[in-house]
Amino acid sequence: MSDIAIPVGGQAHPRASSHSKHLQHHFHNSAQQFEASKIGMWLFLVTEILLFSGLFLAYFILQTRHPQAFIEAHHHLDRSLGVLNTVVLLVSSFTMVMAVQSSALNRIKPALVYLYATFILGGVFMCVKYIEYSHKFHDGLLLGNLFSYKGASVPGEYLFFSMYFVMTGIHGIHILVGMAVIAYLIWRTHQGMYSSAYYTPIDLTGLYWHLVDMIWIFLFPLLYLVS
Amino acid sequence: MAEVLTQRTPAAVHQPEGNFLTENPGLLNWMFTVDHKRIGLMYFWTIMTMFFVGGVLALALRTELLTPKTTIVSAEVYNQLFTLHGVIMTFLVLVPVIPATLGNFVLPMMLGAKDVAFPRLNLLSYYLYVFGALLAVGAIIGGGLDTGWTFYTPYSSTISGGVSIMTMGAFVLGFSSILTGVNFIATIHKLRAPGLSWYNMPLFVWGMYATAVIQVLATPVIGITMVLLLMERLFQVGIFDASLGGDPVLFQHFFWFYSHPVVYIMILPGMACISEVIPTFSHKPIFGYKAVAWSSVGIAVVSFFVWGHHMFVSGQSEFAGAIFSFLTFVVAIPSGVKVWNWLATMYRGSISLGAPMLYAIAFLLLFGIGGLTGLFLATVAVDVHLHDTYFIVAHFHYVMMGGTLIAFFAGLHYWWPKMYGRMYNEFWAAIGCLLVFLGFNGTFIPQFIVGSRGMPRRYYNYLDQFQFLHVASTIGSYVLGIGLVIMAATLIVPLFRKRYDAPNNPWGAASLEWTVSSPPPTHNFHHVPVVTHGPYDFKAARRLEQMESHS
Amino acid sequence: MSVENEAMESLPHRGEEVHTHNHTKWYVANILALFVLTAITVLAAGINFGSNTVNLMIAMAIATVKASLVALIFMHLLWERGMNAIIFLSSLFFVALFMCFTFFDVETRAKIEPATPSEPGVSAGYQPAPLPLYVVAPKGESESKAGQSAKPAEGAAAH
Repeated sequence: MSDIAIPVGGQAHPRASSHSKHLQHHFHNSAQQFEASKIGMWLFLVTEILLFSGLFLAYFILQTRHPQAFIEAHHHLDRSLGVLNTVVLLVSSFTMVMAVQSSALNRIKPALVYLYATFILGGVFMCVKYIEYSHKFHDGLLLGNLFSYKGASVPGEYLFFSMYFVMTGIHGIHILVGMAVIAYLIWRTHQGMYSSAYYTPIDLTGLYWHLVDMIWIFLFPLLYLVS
Repeated sequence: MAEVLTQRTPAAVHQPEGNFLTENPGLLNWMFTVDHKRIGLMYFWTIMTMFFVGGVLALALRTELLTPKTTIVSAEVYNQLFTLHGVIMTFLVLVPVIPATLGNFVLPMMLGAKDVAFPRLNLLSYYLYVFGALLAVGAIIGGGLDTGWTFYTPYSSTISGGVSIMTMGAFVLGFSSILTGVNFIATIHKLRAPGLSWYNMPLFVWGMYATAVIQVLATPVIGITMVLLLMERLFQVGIFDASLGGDPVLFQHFFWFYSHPVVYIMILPGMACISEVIPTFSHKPIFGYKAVAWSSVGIAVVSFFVWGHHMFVSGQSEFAGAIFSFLTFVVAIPSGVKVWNWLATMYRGSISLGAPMLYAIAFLLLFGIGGLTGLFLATVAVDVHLHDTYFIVAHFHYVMMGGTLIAFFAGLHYWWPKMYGRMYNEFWAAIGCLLVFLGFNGTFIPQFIVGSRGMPRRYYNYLDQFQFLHVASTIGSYVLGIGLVIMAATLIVPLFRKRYDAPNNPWGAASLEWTVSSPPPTHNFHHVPVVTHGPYDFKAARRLEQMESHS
Repeated sequence: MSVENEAMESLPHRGEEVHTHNHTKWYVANILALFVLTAITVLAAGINFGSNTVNLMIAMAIATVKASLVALIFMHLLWERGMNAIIFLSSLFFVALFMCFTFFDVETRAKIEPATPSEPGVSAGYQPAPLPLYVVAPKGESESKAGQSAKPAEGAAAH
């Protein structure tokens, strides 16, 4: 992705001749370059899906082995915070897609606003996550051998928290990476790098951001709504 | 014919400048190049270094096994040596060897493109490989490990030592492999020259495409497996450890969901090379182009259905074992289609026995043995007897070394004149090939026998009655080593010649990479080529060449 | 080369074609639908549909609908069919393959009962024979056997 994010030419006249400026030498035209980047991004998303599939499979297997422990353990999570974070991420997906559309329609100002909104919503998500994590740390509801909660009624509750921390941890890292890329996009948009002629990085980041949202859509019921 | 070709573009052949090797010289220009040809060569030399290390380890192992008792190293060291040999040869050599070297070098040229779709990701892939290799080597310094290259839990998750570093190394190498795969798929979809329809692509490209599909789909799973193994080691999260409430064979499912398809990441590129060499050296179009092309994709897909055959005796259910056994037989069909088509291509062709063709014929024999013994092992009942014996060791060496590496050598001899613009000595290349072939069989045929008699793999000591076969195997491995040294010398010696003496198209092949000078110019093609004939239409290609040389 | 570029760029840009339409209404409708589905997920979790597995399946089904909406509308698969959709769908196929085959095994395996994990993070570790592999060793023994790592002892001490 970074491959396309770095423009090739100078910055004197961002709008003028932006095609040739962003066109890398081995492509015939920007349509070809755009489509190649897009296919590359989708392939990257495929790898992300397969990566998370391993986590989901591990969750399902542990859950079928220890159903009672998972039900008991998930009561320690705050369901309302989970719902809040779901809504936050869904809205951030909306603002992201609006950013993509605005830049495609060459409305750079709104695009910038939407990018800021997405970034901030990502930050809100991480803050909520931080609050949740600090509660768990305080109670000793942690993964593996760090689990030190005294009131566990069913053996094996720590397995749930192993999955909880590994899954939300890896997901959280993806959110952070996404936020970093969006920050970069904001910086570049301020510089006038993007227009309807070239907005590939915004488009690709959008795809990534939606995928991260999609994964949360599955994580939310698995972790917060076991029944 | 070669004379005609040499005369064709005398300027391009003898010009000292104007090729990718000499333009923009200097270490920094090489290190930060985004040229797919230079990255291919950088990959090549790095991988060959690792191959050398892995080979030396193999010879050390064989030397140790000369006697039933201690010969040169202690049992602990022996365990670490075979682990390192396995890790280096699979993750650092076999997986990247053809896609990252030959694939990087010729694939864009075969498509008539100036570069791969994402040149900077390509360079990143190389440095990730280097970083991963350093981590793998660092694991030795960080305490070493003796888990075998499969890192089975709970042993790997509870012992101390270098497992964590090696795990991170495997994770990083996975990323390197994914980037190559993503790059190739995007390149093949979007950067084909005008007129190059899917069915006009050389079969090498089809093989690379199928390989890339597996790289993209399977490699992330080893990534997450390694992360979870690391978590297991750091925090004992309990996913892979039955005594902590996890599933006892879950790790093996995770591991083989990647590591079985990875076998096809290794062999499909090998088959891809063979599909180029055999038609060219038989001077006859490939028999059943579409069948060979689609069998690559077929192998890629079916490869995901069979991983459980590594777990017949691991406590997997009999039901799953039966299903996996059946599906494993299915893989033999597309592989058989390929072998059959290669033979049919050679039939009544006018075969010239150049070094690439010698290696291709060696491949057919060795891969045949490797593939067919695979069917024994796919049968659950037979596998129960043969599992974890030297029979397995011999089988996968026949597929991996006799298949992938021999095919790689075929491809290397085939494209070497294109890469460096110099011809090698055919006589010494043939001697090297002969010794490699004899040495290889000398090493592994005894292992089939000793394995079927019950000698377990990875054992330091063995019964006295097995010594004769072990000694035979060790002698074979020395011959193999000498053969490889002769091969390397044959290829390297011409590089000291100043003059480029290789014609553009030394073998009379018909795909696009042979239309440019040897070595190719930095941007491959001066004009976007237009494809008007098939990749194995040798007559049309010659007619075009002659027309060009007259004009 | 540059002449060729200009010629090609005057042609319609397939990527732009997708986006020059204004899809704002679709996006708003989609986000509202996603909110509703989130509410349904939470409500459905409160109802007992018979068993754990059924409840899990219902939750996953709703999540799949939500994810499909995201893919179709936010990720534009509705408007740009073709290779990207094939790539995306194939990944789901292989995920299903991965999960189904593993569950084939897990569900049909003669039960090797794991020891009940009462001690978080105290692994029996690698047990050389003759101890049975999948049984927690008595505590003292597990510490001495898996003694290469100091962590088990810490985990036990925390209790």
